[in-house]
Amino acid sequence: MMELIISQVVNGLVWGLILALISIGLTLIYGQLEIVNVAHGALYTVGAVVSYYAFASMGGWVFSLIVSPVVLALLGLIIYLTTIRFALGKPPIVTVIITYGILFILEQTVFLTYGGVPRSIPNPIPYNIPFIGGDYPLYRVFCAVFSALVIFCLMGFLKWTRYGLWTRATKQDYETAMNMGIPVRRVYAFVFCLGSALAGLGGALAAPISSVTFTMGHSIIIDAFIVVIMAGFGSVIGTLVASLVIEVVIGVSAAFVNPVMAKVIGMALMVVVLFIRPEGLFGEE
Amino acid sequence: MGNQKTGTTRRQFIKTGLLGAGALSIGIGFPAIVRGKTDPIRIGGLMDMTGQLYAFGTWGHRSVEAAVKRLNAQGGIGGREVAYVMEDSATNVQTGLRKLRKLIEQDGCDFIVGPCNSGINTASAPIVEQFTTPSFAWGTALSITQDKGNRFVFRGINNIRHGMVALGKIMGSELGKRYYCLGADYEWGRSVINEFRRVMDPIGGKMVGEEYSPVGTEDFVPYLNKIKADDVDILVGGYFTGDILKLARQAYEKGLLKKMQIVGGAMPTGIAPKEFGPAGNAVWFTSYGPQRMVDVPDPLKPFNKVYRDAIGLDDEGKDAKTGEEGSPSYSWTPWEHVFWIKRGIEKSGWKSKDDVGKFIQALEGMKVEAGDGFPQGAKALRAQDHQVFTDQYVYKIQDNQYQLKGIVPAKDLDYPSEVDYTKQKV
Repeated sequence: MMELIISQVVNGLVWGLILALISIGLTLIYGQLEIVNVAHGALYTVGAVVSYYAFASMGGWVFSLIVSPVVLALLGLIIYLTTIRFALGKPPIVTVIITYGILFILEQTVFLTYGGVPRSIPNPIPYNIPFIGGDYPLYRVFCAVFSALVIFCLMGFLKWTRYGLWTRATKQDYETAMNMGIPVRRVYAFVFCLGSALAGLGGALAAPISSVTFTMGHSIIIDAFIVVIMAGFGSVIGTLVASLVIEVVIGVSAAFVNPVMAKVIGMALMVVVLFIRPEGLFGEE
Repeated sequence: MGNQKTGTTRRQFIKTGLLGAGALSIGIGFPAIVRGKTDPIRIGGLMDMTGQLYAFGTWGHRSVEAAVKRLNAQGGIGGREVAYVMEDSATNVQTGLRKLRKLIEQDGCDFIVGPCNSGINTASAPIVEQFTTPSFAWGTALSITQDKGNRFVFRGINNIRHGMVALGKIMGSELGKRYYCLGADYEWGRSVINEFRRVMDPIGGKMVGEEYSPVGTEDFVPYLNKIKADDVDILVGGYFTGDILKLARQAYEKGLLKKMQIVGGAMPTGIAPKEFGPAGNAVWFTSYGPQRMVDVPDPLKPFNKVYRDAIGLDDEGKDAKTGEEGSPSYSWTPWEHVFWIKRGIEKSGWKSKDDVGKFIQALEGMKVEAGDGFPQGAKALRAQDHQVFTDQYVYKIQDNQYQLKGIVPAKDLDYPSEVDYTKQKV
């Protein structure tokens, strides 16, 4: 039993890091723009589809680690300029409705162009490592390490670069930031592009594990929202911690109960956290 | 004024009354008779055009559309044109039921065809009974034609019990004895597992574990971690399309498929075998029809050709225009459902919804021979549970191809019905 629990903890940490990458995009967008981006799962889907085409046309999946986030950042810019900037300052329900519309547009566009049939990308690192009497896919370890690197680079970026400083300043008090000469609107556009790029990168990383289909964002967006709510909207470090905790709890629970009940336990954990800390683990009161 | 008489005599009153009654009967009663002769017969297609079962719905829609076109080109049914109205269930039970009501109540459909989603099929049964509208189910969960069906529900395709029995017969000694079950947590996923157990129990099979996960699960590894490769011969996958693809690939990446094999409850419709990669070599599927033309028994080839040409499916089972993988093992069912309706109408003399009882009785126990309308082959519709019995196919992925491993004839797939709908009133 101990071996099983260790296996579940390790897999929970690995999947938690991938989920954190996607969820951080979501939390950055809400923390900065106060936009509840329901379309984030669709951006993740588009990222995976772009990854599939990058793999099919360039012959190597590794290119998609660059192509997907770049394409998604551009897509994010288009979405921001055409819709999101008009929703800034609107009540959350308005932003939900707008992004729900974007979700439909993106998903149906993928459906009409890519098709509805699931496709797969071959495992880019088709090796296993021996792990507690069994095998563990090396590619998943790569995903975890890569995700962790991106998250730490992002945290460094937010802490030590000028744009990072602007982003934090705008989040704290956008009026003061504007008075200090920070181009707030540009920061908003940048954050939305960054969030979209992270979703795209998550899609590219998950594509070889999962199957690429136009509905693949449905389940991940629910998980991402659970993570972000539990972490407290806007907290990067909180999102990382919440992702890891949620995935480890679900994984370990799955060792004892059925998978559906394991998900329920994950949800229950979120409810308990919100009951004790309504602002989330790392949220501000 | 108040005392003024209208001057209406009793004779005038009777005349006016008779004229009024006549006009009313023309307006209400006669048109039903006139409409019965001239209005089109309306078939409602409830198809999973979007969502998880998109590939089934798309090909199912094509099949019904092509079958209706063919019937109308041949003069319709009994000289009446056939109209086809389609609604998308979105592979969602709530949406499916809403659309079903629309097809019956607003569009006035006389018959319902589809969808493939077993959950929608079982939830639809009380509604089609309430509106006395015969429905032809396409899902393969056993319960559709057992405890969750009724006299208005027919199924022109084998069910998962047939599928698992056929798998057991063809796999033989390759089945092994120890099996682990993973299924989608809904009607069909559970039905796959139950029926596999029913096959394994009599031959001393040992179930090592049983779990159900939500449809659309991304990461199966937390569940695969529980499986020890040396303790299990067969991993039963009660999943369809993208989910069975993910399960097989992740099991392979976990190193579980060195000796273990996977059995799937349905052909992964719309998915090319190469998508499975090296995991495919360990995957078996039960199939409700032939995938490629080369797999079709010779006597059926001309009929299968007619059907494939009509819906734009090539000999390899791919879309003739796009080259994408089609749904040949499934999509003959909605095509044949249209021809079951034709047979029922012709035998019963059905004119309108008032004749639904005669229509149902006409179909109960009906046998059909292979033909253009029944390209999958001869079959019989059992009276008690409205379940078709026909040949079942078994496939395995080998060398990036769906390879036919055997066909089990309908006579070897019989089982006693646990219900008798013929005792229910129409």
